[in-house]
Amino acid sequence: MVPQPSLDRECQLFSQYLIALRPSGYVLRKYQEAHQQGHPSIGRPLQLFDDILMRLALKHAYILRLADTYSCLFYKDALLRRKLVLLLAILECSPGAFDRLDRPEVRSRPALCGLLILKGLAFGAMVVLSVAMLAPIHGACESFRHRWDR
Amino acid sequence: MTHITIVGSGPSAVHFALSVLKKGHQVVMVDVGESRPDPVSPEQSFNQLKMGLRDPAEYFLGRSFEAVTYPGTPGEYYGFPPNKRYVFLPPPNYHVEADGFSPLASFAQGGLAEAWTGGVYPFNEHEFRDFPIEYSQMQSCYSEVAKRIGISGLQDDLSAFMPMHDHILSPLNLDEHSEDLLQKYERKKSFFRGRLNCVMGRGRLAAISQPWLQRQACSYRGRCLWGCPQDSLYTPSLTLEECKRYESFRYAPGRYASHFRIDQHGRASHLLVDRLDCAGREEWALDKLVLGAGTLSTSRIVLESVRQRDGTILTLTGLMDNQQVLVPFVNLDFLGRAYSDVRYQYHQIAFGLINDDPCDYVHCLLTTLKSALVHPLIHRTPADMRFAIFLFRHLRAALGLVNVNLSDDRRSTNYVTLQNGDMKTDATLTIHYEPGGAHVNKVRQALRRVKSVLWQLNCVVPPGQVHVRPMGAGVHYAGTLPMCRERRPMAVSPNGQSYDFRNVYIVDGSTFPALPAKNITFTLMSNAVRIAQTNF
Ligand SMILES: Cc1cc2nc3c(=O)[nH]c(=O)nc-3n(C[C@H](O)[C@H](O)[C@H](O)COP(=O)(O)OP(=O)(O)OC[C@H]3O[C@@H](n4cnc5c(N)ncnc54)[C@H](O)[C@@H]3O)c2cc1C
Ligand code: SF4
Repeated sequence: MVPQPSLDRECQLFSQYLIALRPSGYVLRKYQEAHQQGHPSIGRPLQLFDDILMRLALKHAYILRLADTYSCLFYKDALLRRKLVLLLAILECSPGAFDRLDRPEVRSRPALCGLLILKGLAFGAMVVLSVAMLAPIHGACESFRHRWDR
Repeated sequence: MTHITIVGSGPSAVHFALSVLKKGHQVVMVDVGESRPDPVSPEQSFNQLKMGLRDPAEYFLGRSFEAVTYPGTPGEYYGFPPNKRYVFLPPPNYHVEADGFSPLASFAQGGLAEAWTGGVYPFNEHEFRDFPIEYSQMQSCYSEVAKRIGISGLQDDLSAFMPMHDHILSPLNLDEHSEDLLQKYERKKSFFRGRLNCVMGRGRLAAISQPWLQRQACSYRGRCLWGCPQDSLYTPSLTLEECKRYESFRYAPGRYASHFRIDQHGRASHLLVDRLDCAGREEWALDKLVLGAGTLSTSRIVLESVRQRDGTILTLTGLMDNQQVLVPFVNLDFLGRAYSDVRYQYHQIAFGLINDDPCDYVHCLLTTLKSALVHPLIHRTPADMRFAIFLFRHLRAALGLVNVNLSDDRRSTNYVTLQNGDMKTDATLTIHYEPGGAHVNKVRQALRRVKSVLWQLNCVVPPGQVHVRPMGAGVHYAGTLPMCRERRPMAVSPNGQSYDFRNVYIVDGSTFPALPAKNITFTLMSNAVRIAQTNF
């Protein structure tokens, strides 16, 4: 197995984004291994917009979040999301990482409600921003694809 | 002493076999018989495995990451464990096509129930209404099976709908979340019973709360879905092992039963069996043949036998399965609470929705979320991953799932038949299923009531998350060769003896003339015991 450095970088950025933790050697190896076995298969031809989302996401953690926010609502089977899910699955099985996902956070009800409202508002703002930034690109890619298909 | 050839090693077949072995008969069991892998690190809990195994991702996700569940994959809330895939591996000669039905068949030692969730709910007298046998004929068989497999449960409100029998062990320790739900029910019991027509209680589980017949009591390792490493959760391969202790028993795995040859007297003279090690076809002379290969496989063997006799392709109508609807919920009283992964994983509470016709009872199994692979749940949340993880970690202890089961009846629109195939190869099993006219309404009504019950338990159902499983996903198949009092073609007597082939007996779900909402397997095993006791 020849590791691809770009996948390691991707894995590091994604892991930091998902659980705020640098991936262990084990996680990096499993992420590479999964890609070599054809994951995450997307079950449809790769679109230009997948490529753009991936390129943008890899630029910066903040843009990654915007791209993820947009795709979770408007482009659910994006390659980006599939890669995030693949890593999530690996992380939840990996020593040192799984409890970041699995261990519940215990909080009082009022604290939880307050936090939920704040996070919810932040998510709302992200949605607006991501739509403003990515919807035109998505639209352009779609119309380009339709014209090309014809 | 009779020489009995049995096809299959699922719950129906092994309990039949053990009963006739106890009576001194000679038994050969022909089975495809995929076998389960050895359990890994039996002493470790679910989360300890993640730290203790050399390659935990391989164990949990599979060598080729096949248990990763991606967005856009239709269906379930969890990925199926790779170490249980062997349960569903089809042999090369088995071909099936289905329309309106998602068939699942097992060719494993122990059959489908090697992957089951261990819910054991006896039918009551009303639910035997359309059977040519009475509940009283089954009562002692339920007790006998309970003694063999070990069942935990409790006499409570549910018992009015699930008769008590002997050998019920004390219930397993409840997890905190289930306990909270039961307490709320207890507090508002009269409202639940009077206004919602709902009764709730402890589930009946084929998992043992105390040592039982050399098996260890459940030690709450939370690995039930991955296969109990210490056999506290019953699987039929345990009974198969018991059968193997009899000298008069021979187990013949690696063999696929194609069909039986029918002689001029209408008897099954030989069983034609394909060796899966490519050693060709064998012919086994028959004295008595017992089919316990599961409803779909047994139907296929009967259909293929008739086709091989004279080319006739029959249609067996009346295929049934329980429609299942999965209703996830959030218990508002458990938001932000801690959970423990060292708990029994499957459902511990059940509730029933009572209708005017007792046969329309709706059976609901309530599972609280404990140890599990959680990525499918996280990516289903309509939020970016980071927010979804945040939500999940705070909601985790509050999450649960109700599995709603509806009854089914035999209808001529639902059938199995064969197509294609020359006489040298097995034809393709073809399945067709159409829901009955009132089906959509039945589902809608049940859902409305389940949501009301949950609401009274201070639980909410997240919008858009209810999943109506495809027909066939219930895996409680029945009805294609029904038992009936009067003699008729492609049916069996109340004692499971074929009306068409005198030395053939059928001991699995294909003989059930009705399908109540309750999980079928406890009744399958008990019925097989009844047939063994009355005929042999
Ligand atoms: C995930 C899951 C959860 C479940 N949970 C529950 C539950 O909680 N409660 C419940 O009551 N039920 C449950 N079930 C259903 C239960 O497993 C089935 O009802 C039960 O296993 C059916 O038993 P059977 O003996 O009739 O057939 P099967 O279990 O299908 O066994 C068939 C046997 O026949 C053999 N066989 C088949 N064809 C051939 C052939 N041509 N030649 C040779 N051998 C053959 C197979 O190898 C196998 O050993 C569950 C099922 C699944 C998949
Ligand atoms: S919790 Fe499940 S896996 Fe663990 S011992 Fe009990 S039955 Fe077995």
